[in-house]
Amino acid sequence: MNRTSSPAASWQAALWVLAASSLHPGLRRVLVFDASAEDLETVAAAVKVMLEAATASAVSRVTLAPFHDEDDLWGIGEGLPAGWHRPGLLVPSNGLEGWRLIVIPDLTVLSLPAARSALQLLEADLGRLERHGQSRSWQPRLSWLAACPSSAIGQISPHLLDRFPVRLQAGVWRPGDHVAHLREWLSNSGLSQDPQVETTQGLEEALRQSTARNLPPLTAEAIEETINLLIPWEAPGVRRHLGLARLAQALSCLSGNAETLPDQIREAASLMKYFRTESVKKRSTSPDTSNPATVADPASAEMEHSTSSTGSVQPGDQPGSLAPGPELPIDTPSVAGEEQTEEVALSLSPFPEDHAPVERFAAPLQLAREDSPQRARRGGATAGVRRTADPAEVAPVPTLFAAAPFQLLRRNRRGVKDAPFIVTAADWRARRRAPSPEDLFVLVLDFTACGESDWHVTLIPYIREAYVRRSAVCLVLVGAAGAPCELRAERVLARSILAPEVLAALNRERGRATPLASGLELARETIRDAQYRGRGAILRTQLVVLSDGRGNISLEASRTARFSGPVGSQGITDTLQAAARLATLDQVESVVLDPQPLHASHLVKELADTLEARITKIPWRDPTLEASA
Amino acid sequence: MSEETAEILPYSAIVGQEKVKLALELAYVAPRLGGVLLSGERGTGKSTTVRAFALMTSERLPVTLPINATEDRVVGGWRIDALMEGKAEPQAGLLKAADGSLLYVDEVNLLDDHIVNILLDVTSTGILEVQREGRLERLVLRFTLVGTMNPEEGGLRPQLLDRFGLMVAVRTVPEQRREILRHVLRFDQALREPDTSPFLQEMKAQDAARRERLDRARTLQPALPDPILNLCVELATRIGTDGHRGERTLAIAAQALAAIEDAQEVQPGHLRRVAPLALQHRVKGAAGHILWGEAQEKILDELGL
Repeated sequence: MNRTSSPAASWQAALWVLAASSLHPGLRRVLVFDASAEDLETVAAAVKVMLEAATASAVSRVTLAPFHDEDDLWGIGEGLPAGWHRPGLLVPSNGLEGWRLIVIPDLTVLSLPAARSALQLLEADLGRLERHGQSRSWQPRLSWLAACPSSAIGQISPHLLDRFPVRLQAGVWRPGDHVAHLREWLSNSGLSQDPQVETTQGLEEALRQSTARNLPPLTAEAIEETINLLIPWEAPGVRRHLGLARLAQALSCLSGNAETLPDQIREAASLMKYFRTESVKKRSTSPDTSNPATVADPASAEMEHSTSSTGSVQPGDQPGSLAPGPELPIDTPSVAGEEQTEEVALSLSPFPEDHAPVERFAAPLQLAREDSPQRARRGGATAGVRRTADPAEVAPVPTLFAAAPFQLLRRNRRGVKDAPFIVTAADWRARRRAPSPEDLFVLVLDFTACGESDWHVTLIPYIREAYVRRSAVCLVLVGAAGAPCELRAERVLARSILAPEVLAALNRERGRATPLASGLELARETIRDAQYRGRGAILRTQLVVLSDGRGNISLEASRTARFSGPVGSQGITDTLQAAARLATLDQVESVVLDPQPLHASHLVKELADTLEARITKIPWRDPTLEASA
Repeated sequence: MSEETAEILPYSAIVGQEKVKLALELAYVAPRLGGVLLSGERGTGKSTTVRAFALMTSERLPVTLPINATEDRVVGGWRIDALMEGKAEPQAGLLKAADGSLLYVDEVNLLDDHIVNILLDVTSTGILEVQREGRLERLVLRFTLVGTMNPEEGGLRPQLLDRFGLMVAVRTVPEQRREILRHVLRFDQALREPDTSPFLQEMKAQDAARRERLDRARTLQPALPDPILNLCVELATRIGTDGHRGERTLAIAAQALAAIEDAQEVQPGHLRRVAPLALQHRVKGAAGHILWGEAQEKILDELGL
């Protein structure tokens, strides 16, 4: 297999991966990053063809939309007359059925019922259906193909992502040259004019022949290689190791090998973009030990990247699918100050969720609690059906479906054969909605400013208010110890102030840097996004900023995750500019909690004035210290 | 091997997870223990182990309550096809189907709250009372509730947590990855010839031997001398558990372990091994969090366990 990184070769390599995933039942779950709608259609067409070859059966296709609810997914009305019965998208019809390809165009907008259903079925060797009189179990014949922008991977539960063992990066299938890309798009040539032509050239036939062979067993060395290759991307469990090992096995089978050797493991890793070869011009310098950030961060060395592949690492790239991993230098001799070109195999991560900032609420796959007031509010997305005793809540269609099976019985008991549809209170059903808070509580907590202040006590009234209002919660942590990146603020989202994640975040220790500008930007993004969420939009925001205003990390440093030296007052300037942008948002009530710093205390007032916030002083823990200050 | 069970890794082929296996076996030997919760990292084989255990002990998969099950399927309802013909034929629910055996809930922390309430009610009273849609039914039910969950996806209500007799905090053991990979890949191979595979036959034989040992343990009743009972109470008190359920669970679990090991009498060593399983989720004020660490181990040392 050709490992060169031209777009055409990358697409061919992807086809091999898709062929291997079609061959092995444990691999029929593919996640594609950064695919356009056209790319995904091409991939889906290719997968369908190859799955038909591998399984020798017809493959039907289902696309999961953001509005699909439980009735759509699992079906309704089984046992009722034909007009009432609607089969489920994920459930086989009675009788024999071939394979189904489930396509999820964007994992980030998958409905809650669909995400929960996917969780049940993605790895299941046995499907179970226990709904509204339906009781079935079956061996699922489902193949999954999902797409997701790598920059938004933090929105998806890792619990779900973990179940996709095969990962592909669509970005490398397109030329890096934007003009060439535009020319190609205008000519409407796409990745492949005829995916069937592409795949039938050897792959379909290889698949058919492979199904008759046993999977080539892994040698002990190959197992060792699997373990070693995944050291940089260790995660709980063995799913990643199994995914890599099985992919290598399947590729080996396609090639007609008798065994799966370490070379095939490396080949599989390469095809999934674990590694990519780049030509790197590197200027050797003496190591700077005065700044730990520059010594520790290899990306901060002066480097000019040129690459023959697309999706090259650019300064300012967000951690994600292009997060750099360990370097494997091939050509090492260098003289200080001399510019050289090295061929370096850079390991990239097919698991961007490991580095991505968390952009989802805690417990994203849970349904709203039954006793939550949020349940009854204006209405988030439908997440199921429940019984109700309140006629004002009755949803007509689910209620009719609940009443339908009993019609004949009820008519017989009443002795009225031609009675209209008989509905009783026992049939009343209401829509269960995803939680939809009206209020948002945003706390920007600067751990480096807390010092001697009794900030926990000062926060209590705001936390109490957030509890009473059943507010959604966003904690922006600035300068907390243990941050994935010290130069950036972190964000914790929770559906309520009672979430354990909130308490854990509040109990973090103080860190070294103060990326306050980044924190305020993160707060602004969160509020703005929450205000533009359609029916689930937030109506009111309480913003609390606990800080002394002394940001010491510039916004540029936060964005690039590169610290190039002391920034002087740039950190403060950027903080105030970020505050000014925050202040432009409507329906935000702001307060700055002043820790009464000993130095530069005027910055707190400047921050509050820029935010158009009122100030509340935080008392010191030791009043004698405060008095002497 | 039936089509339904063909894809499950045999119990004896599961590498590691000794605490998980211990908890399941204790609950099987002593159903009074009231169930097992397996809470831990993703990809650690929790679901696989439960299903393999059920296959090993009963030759069938456990009655499974999916997270999107509706109330009628949990407590029972009417057969729709019969209703369409004007006949009222009851359809047994999952709780009744699990009577005398194991009821398994995968991703138990994602279960609908309404269904959780039903489970809480039945597991605490042992009675299922149904008065709906013209039905009036009162059933006495006994089943072993087994749940698996990933705590990253949300916690469990403390009331439901308390219903589980034993709890295991499941973690990845990196040193075991090699062996796990080897076994799973070997199982993949064996699935191509399930009826003749030497690997599967060997595992089946080991499963049968294990089941025999557990069935024998069910008939034994090792003695629980007073010093051991005193230790149960003192340990539960010093660990700081709520109510009496902690020491009761400790005593029954230790007795079950002694039975599995063919001991005549429960020893302090048995107590030590079951203590975390019985107590870590009952610590007062834990608010649903799991607390077991150096401090708790030190208490075990001080008590001479």
